[in-house]
Amino acid sequence: MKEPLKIPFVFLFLLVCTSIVCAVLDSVSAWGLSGSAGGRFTLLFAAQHLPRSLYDVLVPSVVLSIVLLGLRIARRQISRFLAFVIVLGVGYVVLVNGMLWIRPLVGAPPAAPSPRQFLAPSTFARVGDRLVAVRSLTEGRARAVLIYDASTTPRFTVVPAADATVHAGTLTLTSEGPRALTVSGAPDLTWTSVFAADRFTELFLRDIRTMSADFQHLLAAARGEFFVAAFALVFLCTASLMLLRLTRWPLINVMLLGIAARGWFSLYHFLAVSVAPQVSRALTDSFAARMAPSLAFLALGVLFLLVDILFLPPNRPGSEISG
Amino acid sequence: MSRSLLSRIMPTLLAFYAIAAAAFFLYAVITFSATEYLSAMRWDVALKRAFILFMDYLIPVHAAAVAVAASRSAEEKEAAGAPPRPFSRVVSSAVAAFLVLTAVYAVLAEGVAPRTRSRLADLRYLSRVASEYRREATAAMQGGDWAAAREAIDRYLVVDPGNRQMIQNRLVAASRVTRPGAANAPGPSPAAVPAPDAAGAQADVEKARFYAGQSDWFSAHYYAQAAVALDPRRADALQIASQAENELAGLTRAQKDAAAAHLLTQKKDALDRLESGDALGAYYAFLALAQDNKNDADVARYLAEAAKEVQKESFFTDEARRVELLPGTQGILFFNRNDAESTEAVSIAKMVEMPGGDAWFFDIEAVRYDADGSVAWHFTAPYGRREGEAILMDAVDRTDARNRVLPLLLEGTRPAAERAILRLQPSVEELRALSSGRTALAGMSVPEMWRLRARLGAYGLARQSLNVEMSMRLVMPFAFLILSVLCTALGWSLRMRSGERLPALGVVLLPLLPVTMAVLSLLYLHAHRLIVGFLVIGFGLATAMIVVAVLQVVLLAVALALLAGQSSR
Repeated sequence: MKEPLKIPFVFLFLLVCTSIVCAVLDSVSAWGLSGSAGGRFTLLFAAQHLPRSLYDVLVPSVVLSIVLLGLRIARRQISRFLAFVIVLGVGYVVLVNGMLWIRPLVGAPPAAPSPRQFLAPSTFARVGDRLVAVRSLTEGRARAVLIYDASTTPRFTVVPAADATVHAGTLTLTSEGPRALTVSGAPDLTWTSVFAADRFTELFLRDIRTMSADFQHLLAAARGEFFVAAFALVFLCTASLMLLRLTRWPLINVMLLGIAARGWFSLYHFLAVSVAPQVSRALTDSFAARMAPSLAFLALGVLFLLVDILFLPPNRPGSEISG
Repeated sequence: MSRSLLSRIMPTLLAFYAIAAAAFFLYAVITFSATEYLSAMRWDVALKRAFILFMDYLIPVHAAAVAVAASRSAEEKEAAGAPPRPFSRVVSSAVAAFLVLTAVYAVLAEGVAPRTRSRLADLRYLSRVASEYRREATAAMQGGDWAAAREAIDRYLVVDPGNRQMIQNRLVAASRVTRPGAANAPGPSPAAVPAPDAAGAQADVEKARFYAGQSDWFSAHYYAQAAVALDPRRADALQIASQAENELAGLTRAQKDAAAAHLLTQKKDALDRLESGDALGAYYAFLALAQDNKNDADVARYLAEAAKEVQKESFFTDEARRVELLPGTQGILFFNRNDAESTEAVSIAKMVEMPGGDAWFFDIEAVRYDADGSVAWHFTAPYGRREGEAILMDAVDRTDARNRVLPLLLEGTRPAAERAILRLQPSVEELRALSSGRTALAGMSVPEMWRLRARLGAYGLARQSLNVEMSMRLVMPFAFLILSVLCTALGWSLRMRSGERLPALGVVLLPLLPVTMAVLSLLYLHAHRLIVGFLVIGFGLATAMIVVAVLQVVLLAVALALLAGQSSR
């Protein structure tokens, strides 16, 4: 009976480790993308941003911790019902309370980065499909703006001055006078692109952002729905641990669990972004739309549980010898 | 465990590599873009793209293969009662193999892959240029300009020599050019020529008669000969040709003396031009003289001399067009000058480097403006050649003085002496690094990046990006090695029981394994990119190098410790 008692503590240990690693990387990324133009990295920035990072990474950290805990449980002789209940209970309590406790520590959402973040003087920066270089930039007013567009003839355009703004991830340069033009697009100073993920990782991060943002929104706006959503997520993740007993080949089982965990984020994004609006239109009920992803997660979790109970052996040791 | 881990890993690795290479090749063939590349390049492009994809995703493929191999290492039954081999002996050969594979990976990633990427970019550029030539040829053929069509087709065929349609078009264009009735035929102005009849010896005979009537015996002889060439049975053409020959031979001595004196005067005029510095004028004058005086040694010598002088200040367009088809660097963008007074930005669509340090430039555009954004000048030029520290942009035709291509001034003014010259700050090596986009950095080796990193900031490139790219390239072989060791430990700890066969479901699900490994390894590399970027921008390259080196040592030690922690039972 010692092992079941250890599970909550192991889970907390894993959660602390994963949360710290993820939060540090998130802070570093946030500094690189929005604060690096201000100069060197400071502990003040880290201290100010850490609660926000923890808040943003808590959901994926809980999912990752459940997966890692599952790897340990699969190697131990524990009743699968008991293990299921403990992981579900601990995971749910930690996720809900974690978000409740961290939320007051989180300040206002980070301000949009200033144009200076992307328009370093006399350095080419990508704005959408074009490259832009300014000679100077003072309080959102860029002087001697050079625009390079490879798809036009001529490729260079120079305007004496332009107003630079950043809104919702889009940098816009607007000039007036005889050469009035607007350049708008996703900004990307060459050095900030080093913080940009490759396209596959970016999709993963996008899915994580969707889920975290939804959970944060529900926590602020509809706490009852937040409790349900958190339960549905933890329930599905815990039920997914049955994948660790799917075949006699432990490596395949672990990899399946990994790809499933990745898949839950994609599924959530798909349900929340593509399906929920259609449900909302069909039922003219925003509550059903908001709950659609959670209901789907619950249904999927139940299905996994049934497969586990009906078809899988209660214990299939992961390896010959516990490593 | 009767076999070493290495003997299990190597066949699996090779199988995974082969399957991945085949899959990437198939993908490259299926997704081949006929609008981006010429169809004739299909297989070459597919091979190169497949190799680049293979290199991009080698780490996850390799990690998956290692994990699978390690997890299957216990399939064979151990002899009853046999003592387990020490784990260090089980994995030592595998770890040594990983070191060798890491070295191979580094060589491929730093040596072969950048060149392949550059070559692929070249093929894309050549396809674009060839498509342009094809368009020119089609337009010229439709307009009846057969000489221009033949020239455009010839240039196209240098890129795509096997294109049957274009070969057929060339035959048509060439046959039309040899018939002087075609639009571009040499001879008097079109207004003076009888109604054009492009084909047939009859038309040539009629023209020959026309010029004979005008006492233009040179033209009459020319057309009569052309008619005979088309139809040797035309006795009337032979008669006109004979008459024209007699007339030409029958010049009086006085006329011959006058012609010799005229030639002497023309030669002197041309020589005066050459001596006064008008090399181009002298070149065309000697060229005109050479056409009528092929055996005149003076004309031949001074023509060569004039051509040499011409190339000091300009170059021949046909040479530039020939060089344009060679591999080169595309999309170069930089600040040529950037001081308190003004900024000079230059864009070059393509640069071709020649042996001996020479370089050619294509589709050049430059603008100079001051701190208020007032444009001092802005020009474009289709061709340029590097001469010392400058680009010459005066392209002259080898035979036609009218076809001179000079920079087109779009805005402002430039001193006449500088109209066709642009002083260049970056060296050719630096220009190679200034190609816009990440492809330029991907096409550079780490030593090149290290050498150029100090100066590139002055040309408008964010130096940090170069430093980050360089650091990441140094990290990649470590990532390959560390993930190899980690996946061995993972596969070993999740290995099958001794003597068990692979489950059918496991085999079916096996393709998912590289996918999971790709997700994990890409996350691992992204985390590294964040850390490297943070360190480089926040604390400088030296600090970043030290911290990243320490991090790699720690991660390698952890991976080895995890591997060593496995049991051989």
